[in-house]
Amino acid sequence: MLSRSLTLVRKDLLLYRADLAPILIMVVLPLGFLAFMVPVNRALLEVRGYPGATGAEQALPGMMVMFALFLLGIVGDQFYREYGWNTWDRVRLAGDMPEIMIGKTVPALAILLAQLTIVFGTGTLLFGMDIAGPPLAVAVLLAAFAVCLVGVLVAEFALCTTFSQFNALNVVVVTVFSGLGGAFAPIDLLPSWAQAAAPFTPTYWVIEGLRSVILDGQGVAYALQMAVPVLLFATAFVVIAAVRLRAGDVKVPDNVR
Amino acid sequence: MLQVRGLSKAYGRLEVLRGLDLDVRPGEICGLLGRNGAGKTTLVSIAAGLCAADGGSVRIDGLDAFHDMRRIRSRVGVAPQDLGIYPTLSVSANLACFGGLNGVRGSALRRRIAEVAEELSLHDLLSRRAGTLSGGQKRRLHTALALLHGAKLLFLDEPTVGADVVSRGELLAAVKRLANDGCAVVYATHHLAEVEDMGASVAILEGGVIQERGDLAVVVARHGRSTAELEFAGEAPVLAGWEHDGACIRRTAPDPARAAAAAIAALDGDATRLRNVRIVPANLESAYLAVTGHSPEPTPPEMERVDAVA
Repeated sequence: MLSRSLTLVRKDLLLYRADLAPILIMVVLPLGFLAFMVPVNRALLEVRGYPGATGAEQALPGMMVMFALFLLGIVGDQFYREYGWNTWDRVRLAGDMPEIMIGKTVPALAILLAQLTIVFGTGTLLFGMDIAGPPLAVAVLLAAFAVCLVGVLVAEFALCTTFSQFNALNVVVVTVFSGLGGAFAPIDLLPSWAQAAAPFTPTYWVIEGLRSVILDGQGVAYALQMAVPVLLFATAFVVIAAVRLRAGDVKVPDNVR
Repeated sequence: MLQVRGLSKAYGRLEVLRGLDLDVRPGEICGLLGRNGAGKTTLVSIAAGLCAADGGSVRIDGLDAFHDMRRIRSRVGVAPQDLGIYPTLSVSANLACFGGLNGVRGSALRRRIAEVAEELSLHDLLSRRAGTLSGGQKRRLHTALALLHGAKLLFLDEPTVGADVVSRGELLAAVKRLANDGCAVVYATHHLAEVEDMGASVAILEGGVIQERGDLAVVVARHGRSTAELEFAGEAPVLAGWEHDGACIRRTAPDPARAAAAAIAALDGDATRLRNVRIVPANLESAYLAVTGHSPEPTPPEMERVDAVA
């Protein structure tokens, strides 16, 4: 079983490498956005009692989370392309659904984790951000969020027959999860209904966790605590996928490329 | 090698297979014939484990295909009707992927890639991106992906669609070599000449069941009809008992030469316009026509796919 999944992992990584530009754009774009958002957030943080803050402490986690969700649209395309290329059935001829899904999701996890790490690392260096807490706490939250993103990915794939539907649903997910999660503004500045709804998004726990580690010096134990609800969300998304997805489902890519 | 019994499958109210039986022996090439929507692709999909049957059984190499698919996979190779390759990967990466998926690894995989590439004339194309290949080259790669693991039973669903004459010849030669090595091949096609070229046995699928099954020579002898065809300059005259088709008239008869002679004798003044006389011996096409009542039209590839999805 493992060897078939590994073959698929290798193949998907080759496919991503062959079409790297869209992924690179999703790495560069959040950094570009930060250039606009950091000054505003610096002023906001100064008012809130963080006089030495660069503004990236507030803006970076939000932008990173939002563009990781956007990246799902590109990673998801890799799933639908298998149908456009008529390779999904050929892969099914050789393996069972769990092997195939492992083979498809592990590369997706690697891509998402790489994007999160590069955006966070580069953003930290570019904007001279100090992280008050331990880097391991940041790593815990990024890893948990990457796993949750893969859960969102497979749930969306399971729910959507066409890639257009997938894309539309993903835009809704990006908007809701980013807005309620505090990607655009601190949670306490959101309307009361949004503040009440925020904990029902995984992004809330990730963004709050990261900001607390960066600004307040929270440690690994705290990060693990914040990672638990994120992983619970991931589990729920995977359950949705397991219930809805069938090997013989017919999926429709936008076109064959 | 392949034993199908009472196979049935319906898509909604459309019954595609109605208790189909089929046996294919090791080393046999079985030409599976039938019009669009007859159920050829459905039969292949069920036997390969891509699609569930409503009833019946499929045994492959003595194993129950519905319950033992894990053990059967390594014994079965399938080249579906629709071209299935990764266009952004190289030819060798495509071959390595599907070889690996079917349990061929390391030096054995490298050896098999070289052998299959040689067999289907892909050896000079291994580093090319699959998407940049010509239609015939893609079709050869598509078929090669099913050959890597040395399957005992091969399903080839219209393997020469879109292939040029050279590619077609190479594919047919490869199929014959595989059969000579003991591989059982189910070869679904609309090109009856390919079945004749390979000396394959024949299974004619019509109305959800196999209507005719046997060696090519037996099927042709049983159902085939010889035809006389007379071609004229300008519109052909109308003769009783002859089918009129523009400048031609033709007639199926047990002794077509005698029928042609009788027709020529009855032509009177039209005899001066006679340009050509052709005697077409009994062949698979005429046998197919006699069994099904229609000609084996070529396939628009999407049509059967839609049928299979419906």
